[in-house]
Parts: sequence; C-alpha cells; structure tokens
Amino acid sequence: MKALETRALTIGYRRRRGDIVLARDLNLALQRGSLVGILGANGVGKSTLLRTLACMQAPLAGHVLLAGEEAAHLLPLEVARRLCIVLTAAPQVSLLNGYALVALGRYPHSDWLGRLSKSDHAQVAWALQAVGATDLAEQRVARLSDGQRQKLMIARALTQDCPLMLLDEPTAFLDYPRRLETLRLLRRLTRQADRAILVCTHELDLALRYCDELWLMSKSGVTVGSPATILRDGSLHATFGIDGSSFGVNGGSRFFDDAQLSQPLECQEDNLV
Amino acid sequence: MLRLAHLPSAFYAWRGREYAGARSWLLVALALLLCLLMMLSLALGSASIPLEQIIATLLGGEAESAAWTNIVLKFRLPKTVTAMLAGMALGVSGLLMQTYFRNPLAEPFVLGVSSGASLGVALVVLGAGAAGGLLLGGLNLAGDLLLTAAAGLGAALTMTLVLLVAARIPNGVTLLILGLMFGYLVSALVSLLLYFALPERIQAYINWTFGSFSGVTSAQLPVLALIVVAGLLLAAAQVKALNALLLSEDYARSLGVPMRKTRLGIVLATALLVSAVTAFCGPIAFIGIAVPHMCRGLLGSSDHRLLLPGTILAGACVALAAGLIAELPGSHIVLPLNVVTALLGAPVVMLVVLRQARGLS
Repeated sequence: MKALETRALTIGYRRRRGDIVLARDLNLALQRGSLVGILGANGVGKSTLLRTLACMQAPLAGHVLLAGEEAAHLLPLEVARRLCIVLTAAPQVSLLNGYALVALGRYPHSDWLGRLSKSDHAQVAWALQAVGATDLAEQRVARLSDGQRQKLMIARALTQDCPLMLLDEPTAFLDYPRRLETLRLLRRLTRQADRAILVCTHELDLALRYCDELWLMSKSGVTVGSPATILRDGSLHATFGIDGSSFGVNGGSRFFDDAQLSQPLECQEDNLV
Repeated sequence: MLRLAHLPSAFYAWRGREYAGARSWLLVALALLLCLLMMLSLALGSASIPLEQIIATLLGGEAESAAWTNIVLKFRLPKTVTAMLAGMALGVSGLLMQTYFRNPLAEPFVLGVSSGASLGVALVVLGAGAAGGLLLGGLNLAGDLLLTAAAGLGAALTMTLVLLVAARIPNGVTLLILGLMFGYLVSALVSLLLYFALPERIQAYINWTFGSFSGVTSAQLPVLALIVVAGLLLAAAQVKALNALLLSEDYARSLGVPMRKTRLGIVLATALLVSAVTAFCGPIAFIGIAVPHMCRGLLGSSDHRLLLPGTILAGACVALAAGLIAELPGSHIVLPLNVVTALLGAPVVMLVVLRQARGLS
C-alpha cells in the first residue's frame, strides 16, 4: 500500500516578487515496508521537499496524498495519525524522563490531558524496545548523549503509530558507529513494523548500503532508482560528481575513488613559483 | 493504608512510569503550606485579634468587638484572597510564557500587557490636568477606582493588540520581540510623562508601581476572581499542547497540535491573568518569572500536568508570604510589595537553579 504519493507536486517558497521554485512536477510514491533515502547537494531543496511532504509548508502546486487521501484536506490531528517526523537536532527537554519523552508521541491518540491508557503504555514499551532504549526509560533526558536522545526521538515517532515516518538528517550530530546503527535500525523498522520510512541524509555510503530506493535531487529534478541502478547508470556521479573523482560500481563499501588524493603535492607548488 | 506519598497518585489516577523521578507528592506539601499561610495572613496584622475570634468571624459569626469583625471581613479577607489570586495568576502566566517562548527568562509581562496598564495609569496620574489632580488630591477611594479603571483599560487595549498580532504572526520569537519593543516604547512615554510631571504626582505613580494586595475592596473582588478563574481554566485547557510544545513548535505541529488555536489560547489566558492582576494590584514583579522555576526545581519535572497545579499552589504561597512580610506584623510599617518579592525571592530562585544545574552536570 502507498503510504505517500505526490502528483505533479511543485515545491518552493512563495514570495511577493515571484515564487522560488526548487523542483516541479514531482510524481513520487512510497510503499509501506520500504526505506527510501533522499540524497542531494546542499541547497538543492531536500529539506523543502521533506517539509512539504510533512505538511509543514504548503506546495506551490500539485498534491500530496497520505495513505491515499489529499493532505491539504486533512485536519492537523488526521495528518498526525498518518505521518511522524524526526528532525536533525533532538530537543533539549531537561526535566522529562525517557519514557515521558517517548510517550509524547501518543498525543494524537490520547484524551485532552494526554493521559496514557494501557494500550498507550504498551505502545511506548514496544517502541522503546524496538529502538533498543528500554534502559533509558527512567533516565532524565538532559543526562543522555545526542545519540541516545535521537534514539528516543525515533521511538517517540514510532509510538505515534503512523504508516509513514519522515526523518530530516537524523544522524548529523552523531558519530560514525551511531550513524550506522541508526540506518540499520530504520531498515529493520521498515521490515518488522511495516513502516514506510523516508530519510533525508548526507550519508552517501550508508544510504547506498541500507536504502531500498534512492531519490536523487538535483537542479534538474528528482531521479528515482534502487542503489544499484543509480550507481550503474551514472546518475549518482551526475549529482555528486566532483572533478577527478568517480564512484565505484562493485557494491563494496568504497564507492568513492578520489584521483586527486594520490597526486603529489609538488605540482601545486610549481604553480606558485 | 494510604500513605502521604500515595495521595498525589490518587489525584493523578493515571500516574505511570512517565512520572518516574518527579516529586509529585510535593503538591500535597504545597497545598498544606498554602493553608498555613492563609491562616497566618488572616491572623497577623497591625491589630492583634485572637485566633478563635477570627475563625468565628469567618464562619459567619460576630467577634467580640465590631472593629475586629470589620478588620477581618473588610480588610484581611479581601487582602488574603487577592494575594492568592494574584499569585496564582502570575505563576501560571509565567509558566505559559516560558513554555510557549521556550525561554527561561520569559515572564508574564513580555507580551506588553502590563506596560499598557502602566501607560494607562501614567496618563491618568501624570498627564491628566486639573480634573485628575482634584480626583487624586481629595478622594482616595475614587482615585483608587480611577487607577484600576485606567490600568484595566490600558491592559485591555494592549491585550487586543497582542491578540490581533498573535493571530497573524505564526512565529513565537517575532511575538516576543514585538512585545519587548512595545514595553520599551511605553516606558519611554512614561518617562516623558514623569519628566514633565509635578513631584506629588510622580510619588502617586511610583506608589502604584510598588504593587499592593490591599487595594481591592470586597465589591471588586468578584471581578478579579472571575477573570483569574477564567484565565486559569483556559490555561488548563492548553496543558496537553504545552507538553507537546516542550519539544518544539515544529514537533508540536507534527503531533497534531492546532498551533493557531493553541497560540491564541496561551496568549489570551496570559493577557487575562496579567491584566486583571496589574489593574487591581499594580505591576507585581518577580513572582511570574520565579514561581515556574521554583516548581520545576521542586517537582523535578517539566510535565505541565504537574507544573500547572504546582504553579497555582506555589504562586499563591509566594504571594501570601510576600504580603505577610511586607506588612511586618507587629509594626505599623508597610514595605513596598515589589521590594519584598524580589529581595526575598531572588536568592531562593538562585539556589533552586544552581542546585538544578549541579544535579544535571
């Protein structure tokens, strides 16, 4: 089932002196149970696309469909039951414990005071276990590391119980092992919890290894394909290619082959003389 | 057997692991402290009245002396209730502002409502011509009423302005800066009025800025009570959204919080609470910024389901205590209320915040 679909979507910003268009006529789709990565250079509009899909900003034209329904016609609470988000920086909520932070995800399902029912408690416990953060439940959030807090934020998104999860560079502040762990966790969640997960990231290496599909964003539009296809047909190189470097196609961990690194430094000094 | 520590859990029947680490039982302690301070506020004063006489009067009887009945019913009771209402209102509006603006330095007055009130008072006291002088010179009572009306009008006009802006501008920080700038603008105008005013008028204005709980008559009290209760109920309705706002406005929106409605609810509740208190008691500083910090430190939680009742109770306690100390029981001197709130309260908050910072690192 399609958790997300766009029809002739144009994204950008409205300005009085003419709109700023970042991408137009996007027809994208996201199935439950798959992990999709958005890749692209800085400033190409990845975050704008993500914000538009998350209904945090209005599209310039076209439609976003959440679980088959036009997003523009949904109430905030109805959107909150269809998609959840994880942002780059985990918020600093000093005096809550991990459990309370994760339980905030039950907002769209609980009563006016946000009281938790038995099934809410079960959801929270399940989400904590799914991300491997059960031991953080009774610790103050302020005492946790960035990685631990981001884990809780993913658990919080899980308890919201939505078919679609959108993440905006969730690993930007984490060290390499934590980045690897996060991407693996996301892939596992798509399989075990049948979620559609869309992650905007700069982790080329990890995205190529763990995503089922990649959306490559460049000035000319969005190219969609599996990691293997994108590597073979050269679109990855077209998006990220820097003079003197190329991408490996053997599916190994070393995709990046930089010719300039092996050049002796003398040649640059020659230019100076 | 019901132990003291179980009482709040009975109150919060849904108490679960999300409250682990929070000291919610302190809510009961605060309630007991409030009862004690209420009794003290009724019992202590420049005239010494036996406690059983006070209780008899409060229960509807007559004290041995008609003067005692008069003092208790017409003076101490309104003063006590006013202090409690003002403390609750300022504590809760401070909490709303700090959470909404995600800024620990935010306070009830950042929206500019009390600046509007002070401009109203300054215009009447300092700017009015012969008529104003006549009113203030001779009739104390009419003068007080005029001040309340001027402050209320100034606050209400500012409140309308703030609501109009809040409905249009979807950005908390912009609202904060606009409120602060409005405050500067108003204080400049007030300074201008002060510069050209007569010395005795200046004294009258300064007296108003000291703040006082004793200016509210039993006839005015229901008005204050009604507005404060309405503001508190409106604040209570935002509790769930306030918890979501702890994350960020973006996260709150993604959780389905109707931001426009919530923002207007928070701003309207704050404006109601602050304008009522400022109109009747003057601009009482410090309680609004300090009480929420005190409550977070005491209760050990950022959860508004604990913090809201906490700030209501602690706000009332702090205001009653400040009122008591300002009267210096046993003497005939009355200190300015704002002096007491800041002099005694600031060190307490410093301690709480320092303890909290040590606990976190």
